[in-house]
Amino acid sequence: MHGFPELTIGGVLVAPFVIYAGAAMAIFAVLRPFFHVAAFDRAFSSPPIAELSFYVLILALLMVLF
Amino acid sequence: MTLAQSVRSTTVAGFPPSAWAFALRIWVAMIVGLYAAFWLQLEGASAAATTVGVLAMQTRGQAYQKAIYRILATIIGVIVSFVIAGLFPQSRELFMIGFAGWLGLCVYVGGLLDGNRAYGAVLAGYTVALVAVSQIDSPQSIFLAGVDRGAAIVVGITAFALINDLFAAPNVHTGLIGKLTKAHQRVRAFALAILRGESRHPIQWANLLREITALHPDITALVAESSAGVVEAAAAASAAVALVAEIRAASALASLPAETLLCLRGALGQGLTDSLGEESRSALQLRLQRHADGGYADPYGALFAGHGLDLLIENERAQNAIEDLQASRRPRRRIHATIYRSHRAAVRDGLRAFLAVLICAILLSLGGWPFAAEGVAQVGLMIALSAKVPNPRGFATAALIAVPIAALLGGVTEYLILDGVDQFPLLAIGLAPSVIVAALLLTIPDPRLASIAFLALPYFVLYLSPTNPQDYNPETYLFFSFMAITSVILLSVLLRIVLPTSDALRRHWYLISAREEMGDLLAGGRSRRLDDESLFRDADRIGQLAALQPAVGDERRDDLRQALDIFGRAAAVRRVRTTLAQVSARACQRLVQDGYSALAACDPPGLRRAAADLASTATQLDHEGQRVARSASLDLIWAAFVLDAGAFGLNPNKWTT
Repeated sequence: MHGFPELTIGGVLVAPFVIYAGAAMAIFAVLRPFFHVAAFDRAFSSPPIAELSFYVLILALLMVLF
Repeated sequence: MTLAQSVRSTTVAGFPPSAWAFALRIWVAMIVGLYAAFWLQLEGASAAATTVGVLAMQTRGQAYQKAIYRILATIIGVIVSFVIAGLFPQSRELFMIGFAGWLGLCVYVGGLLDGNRAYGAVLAGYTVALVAVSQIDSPQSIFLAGVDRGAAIVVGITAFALINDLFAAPNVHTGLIGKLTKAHQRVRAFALAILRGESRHPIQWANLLREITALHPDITALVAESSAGVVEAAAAASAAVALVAEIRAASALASLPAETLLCLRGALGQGLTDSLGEESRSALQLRLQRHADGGYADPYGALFAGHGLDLLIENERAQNAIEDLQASRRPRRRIHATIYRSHRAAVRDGLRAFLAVLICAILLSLGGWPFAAEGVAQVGLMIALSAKVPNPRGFATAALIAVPIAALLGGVTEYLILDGVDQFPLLAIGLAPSVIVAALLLTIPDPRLASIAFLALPYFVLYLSPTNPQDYNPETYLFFSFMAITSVILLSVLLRIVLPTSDALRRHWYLISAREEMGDLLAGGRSRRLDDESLFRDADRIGQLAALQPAVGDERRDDLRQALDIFGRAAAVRRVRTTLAQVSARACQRLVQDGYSALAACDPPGLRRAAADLASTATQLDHEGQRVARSASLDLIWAAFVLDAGAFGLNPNKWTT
């Protein structure tokens, strides 16, 4: 078991999920340009749902690992 | 008729299935956003539903782009709220001046941008109104109000993105391919008509340019839509710029005598419509090149051949770029579609927003009403939004209709339909009629009705203000509605009396800026943009000019004729400067300097002399040098021709607005 990372802004405690979601979004944004190089769009019939699933995957990985 | 066609042509209550799908997506996203915000126990949960209403755009790319700017602008707005509240904690007057100044600055910046980027700029301004001004009596709550608003907005955006993805909202990409293909067909038809010797009214040229430059917000929205968005946006920009260059080449042909090179016109037309094979096309290009190299022997023929060649090249570039867009491929030519925005109009809009907020704050504080701060915040919001539409007065009229309707619908839903219930499913059902009808109206092409629906949708949620549990306080509802309607009336009056920007004034500014830039260009000023990027920017200015109401008694649209005249001349001068720069590395500097001097002096005979000198010197150069020198010589002849032929001349005294 590991503790959740905590972030406090001006005395307000920010939920750990927000940090995970933000970090996952940042990683997703960095990886996104490489999707086109890897022909990610052509590999799925619905690329938006595939991208959404990829984001959820990153989010879940972050939550499990950190 | 196939099943897909029959479904597409079916309408339900006058609306196609795509419009119903859009309306249902908005409603579902609103409900999901509200549910998540209630579950997270956010104070300003209704902002999640309002966010969905604000993001109600029909394509994924536009909605995502707007969402990104909404988050960024909210963060900036909340930070500025802290700064203004921290700087003026004890002085309401200075606080209001600080807010008005910030709003004016944001409106000015928004005036220099377009589409969702302009929305982001004005949102950063009015976020201060919603976060700080509405908390003016309790500045210690600004931080929590800002965090609550930010959280609710993120929840609303997430819900909307999720629903758009799951329910396969249409892409900008597909729509933009269709729009560019249609624009390309129209540009070809325009060029073919010119080749047949038909004359075109300036308004047709201007509308064609407007149709292309108006695609700019869609082009920028592609970036947010998919992982291939950056490449697709580059391809779309390349296609749009090539189409504008194709219109320029066609209009250059139109200005030459109708009997020039009659023998080549048919073949050129066939080359445009792709009815020539690869070999015939190459043979045609070779023939045109040979005529263009003829230069002084037959100046009109050479000019016609040169512009005909440009027409073919730009037509092919546009076609290739559209194919690149379809295949999500990087375009062969990387070029930006640069927009034109009037600094004068942006400054005036910013000043108007500053003054309107101050006047409104004075009036409402003198009135001593409760909710006066909300009134100022509403005026700030409306004046900021009005600045990003082409017709602020039309926007104010739409607000005058939409806000009372939204207030009425909010009241009816809260006190007649829901009437004290607090179950979430009943709230969802109660929201459905107003939300779905407003979203359906958003899909109607009529801009007036769409403006009313665009305002009514988020304002309805604002008046209903769903909370968990719903508080059903008629006093709050009545005061808030009264203040919002008063604010809209105030806005409408202020827009008419505080620094109003008439179409005549805009027309004057657009033409003045075109002339000033032309003057700079002749004097030797060079911008960092590529020639075709500057051409697109000039076309954007003409598109904006075409959108204005014509001046009284100007049925011929002299304003458009002047703007198109300057458009053609600026293109010719830019081209001369580019080719002379290429020649300067290969030929005698004196010849090049003669060309520059004749250009700066607006001296057509001097330009012709420089062209003749260059053409005679070309024979002494190597093969590449000859090609560049001939090209520069032809461009100098063309510049002399357009400076001679301009209906309005280069004498500013002859220009009218």
